[in-house]
Amino acid sequence: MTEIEIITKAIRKAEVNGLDTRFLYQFGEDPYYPMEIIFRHDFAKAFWKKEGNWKYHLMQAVLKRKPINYLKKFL
Amino acid sequence: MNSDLILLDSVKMAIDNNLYLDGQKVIDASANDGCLFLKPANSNTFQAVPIYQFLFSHNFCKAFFGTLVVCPLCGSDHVEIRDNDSTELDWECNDCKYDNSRAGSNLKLAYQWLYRMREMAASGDPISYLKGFI
Repeated sequence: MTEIEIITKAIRKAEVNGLDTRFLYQFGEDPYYPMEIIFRHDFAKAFWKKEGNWKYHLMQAVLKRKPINYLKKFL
Repeated sequence: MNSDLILLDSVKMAIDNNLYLDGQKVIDASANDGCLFLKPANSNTFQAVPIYQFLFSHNFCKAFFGTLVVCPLCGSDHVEIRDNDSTELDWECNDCKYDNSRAGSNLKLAYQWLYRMREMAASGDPISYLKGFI
C-alpha cells in the first residue's frame, strides 16, 4: 500500500467515525500531506475512536521515522 | 509574535545547531503566510516544505531540542547519573526527585528531542509549543 493509499483509507475511517473533513480543502489540488493530517488531534481522536487512547497512539506514531506506517495496522 | 515568526526563529535556531534536510545541510530559511521554505547548501533556491512533516522530522527535533538525556517523567535535564557496578544506569532527577535505583525500576532516561517531540504532538499546536523554546 502506498502512502497516499494509507492516508486516503485512514481519512475515510476517521470520517466514518465523525471527522469533519472540511479542513482538507486547504490542500486544494495538491496531494495530501500525510503529516499535516496525522498530527491533527481531531483526526487522531476519530481515527483511533474504536481502539481508544488516541493520545497514546499519536505518541507512538510520532516516534516512528515514518508515522504513516503506524496507521497502517489500524486500517 | 505571529506564527511565521515563531516558525522562522525556531528553524534558524535549528540551523545554528546543524540542521539537515535530505542529507544536505540547511543554510537558510524563510516563512511566509504559514508556508516554510528552506535553502539547502547545495542549492541556490528555497524549497517549500510541508510544515508538520518538517517539524515532526527527527532531524529538526534533534537540532532544535537537542540530544541531551532527560528524565522520562518530567523532561528535566537536571539528572544526576551515578556510577554503579551493574549494567543498568542509576539516575536521579533533581527536579521531580524520581530516583531510579530507589524505585527499583529500570525506567530509562529519554532523549530530550524525543521527549519534546512527543509533547509537541500531544500539544495539538506545534508552533505554539515551539514558542516556549525560543
